Amino acid sequence: MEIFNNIILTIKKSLKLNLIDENRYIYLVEGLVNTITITLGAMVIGIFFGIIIAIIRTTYENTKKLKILNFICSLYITVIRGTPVVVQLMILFFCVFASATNGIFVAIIGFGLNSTAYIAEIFRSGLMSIDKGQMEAGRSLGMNYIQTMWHIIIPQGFKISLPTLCNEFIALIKETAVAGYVAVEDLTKGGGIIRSRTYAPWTPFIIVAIIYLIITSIMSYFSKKLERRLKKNER
Amino acid sequence: MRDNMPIIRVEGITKKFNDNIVIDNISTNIYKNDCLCIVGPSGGGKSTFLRCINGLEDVSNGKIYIDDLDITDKKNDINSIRKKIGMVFQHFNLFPHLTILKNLTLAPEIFKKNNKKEIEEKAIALLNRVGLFDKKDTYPSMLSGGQKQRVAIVRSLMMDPEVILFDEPTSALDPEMVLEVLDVMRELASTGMTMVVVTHEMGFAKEVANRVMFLENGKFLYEAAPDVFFNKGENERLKLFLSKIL
Ligand SMILES: Nc1ncnc2c1ncn2[C@@H]1O[C@H](COP(=O)(O)OP(=O)(O)OP(=O)(O)O)[C@@H](O)[C@H]1O
Ligand SMILES: [Mg+2]
Repeated sequence: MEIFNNIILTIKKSLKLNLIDENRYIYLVEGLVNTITITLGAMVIGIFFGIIIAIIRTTYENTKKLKILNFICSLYITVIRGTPVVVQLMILFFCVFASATNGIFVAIIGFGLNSTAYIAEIFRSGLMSIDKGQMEAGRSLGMNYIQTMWHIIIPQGFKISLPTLCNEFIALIKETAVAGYVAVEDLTKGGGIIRSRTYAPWTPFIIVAIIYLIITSIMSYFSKKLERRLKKNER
Repeated sequence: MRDNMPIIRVEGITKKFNDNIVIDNISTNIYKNDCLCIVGPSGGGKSTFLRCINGLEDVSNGKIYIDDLDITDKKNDINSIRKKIGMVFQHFNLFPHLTILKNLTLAPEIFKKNNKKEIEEKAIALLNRVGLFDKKDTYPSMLSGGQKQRVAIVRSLMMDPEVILFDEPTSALDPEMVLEVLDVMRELASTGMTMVVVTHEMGFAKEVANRVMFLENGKFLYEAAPDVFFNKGENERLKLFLSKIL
């Protein structure tokens, strides 16, 4: 009993030191906001360009048109997926946007361009998995290639891709933890700042870890729910 | 012999996949109100022939005219030509993410054939005609094969086609569902719809077709009216084929 009380007391003291004193929790709150901002921003960029690249690549595979665009896209995907995201970020921050003062902006662009490559591949395999008969049915009704893609192939391919896409977002939010390398005060960096003030070895990072875990758990809960709902409708 | 112009003129088409000749110099005309059945052994090029007619495959040689428009000429708009040619597939190819009603109205709405309300009314009237009105708000996955194929036929009718191509419309169906689809097709033929039907249903060909065509190894070997075709068709290959399947 005595030991138990002591542990509780130590935890309380440590929480007070790392969160309450000098309003240190603010670092975590602001860090979390930045982490979420970067993730959401990167998601929007990734989905937008990912769909475009996926359509270009699928069109090339189906019709052998857009050869040059397809080459550029596949080169892009190879480079992005073959290099560490931290390196890409640093190249963006210290070279491309060398005069940038807003690290968050650079991080959104960086993670966005990075996840574009992954999302493009997710959408591409979704689009390619749609039965060829769907395109033929659309075309034989007189719809052109773009109309058939838009009304028939993309909605189905998107739906098939959704679960994998959710996993990509879960991976993305964890990946943004390296944003500290380009002077962004994200959630992880927030934990680091607190540690540098209080010299507490455990508490700040355990708290940070728990916050990530909660967010990713919520995301995967909704992704499973979504998956079940999609399954229910058709097929 | 006929007073009307052909809807489709096929002039010496050849189709190769790499060096494999799948359609070998076929010519024929398809006239208004024709119900042309195409029969022949598997791999003979029947599907490919149909797919060439609506441009799903490019021909390697020859010309195909639909209402005097050459569809093998890339300058002609294949999409607007296709609106006049319906196609019904062996595996239905309904759009699984759309309700039955939406499956029917999607293309007409894109082309603004009529206003939305008129398009829906038409879809509902056609669904009634094939006895599937109560399915209008369900998804294709909830239908039986026979029901799916009837919806697919209605989907092609929505575009008011001049001709409908059928590629083995009953081959993927359980035997007890074949009849309900053939009934719809028979009714269509009786209303004068121009149809080209690739089929293994010799009973249907005998009863409904006005012309039956025999295709083997990419060659158009014989054509006759069904009573001649199935009784005294004087082609050796055809006799062999019929002796195997009848
Ligand atoms: N996309 C393709 N690429 C290469 N070869 C093909 C292609 N489509 C068809 N073929 C070949 O063309 C030949 C004719 O095929 P097709 O599907 O037209 O025959 P079919 O008469 O419809 O046969 P079935 O009764 O089995 O449907 C076959 O030998 C087939 O392997
Ligand atoms: Mg076939």
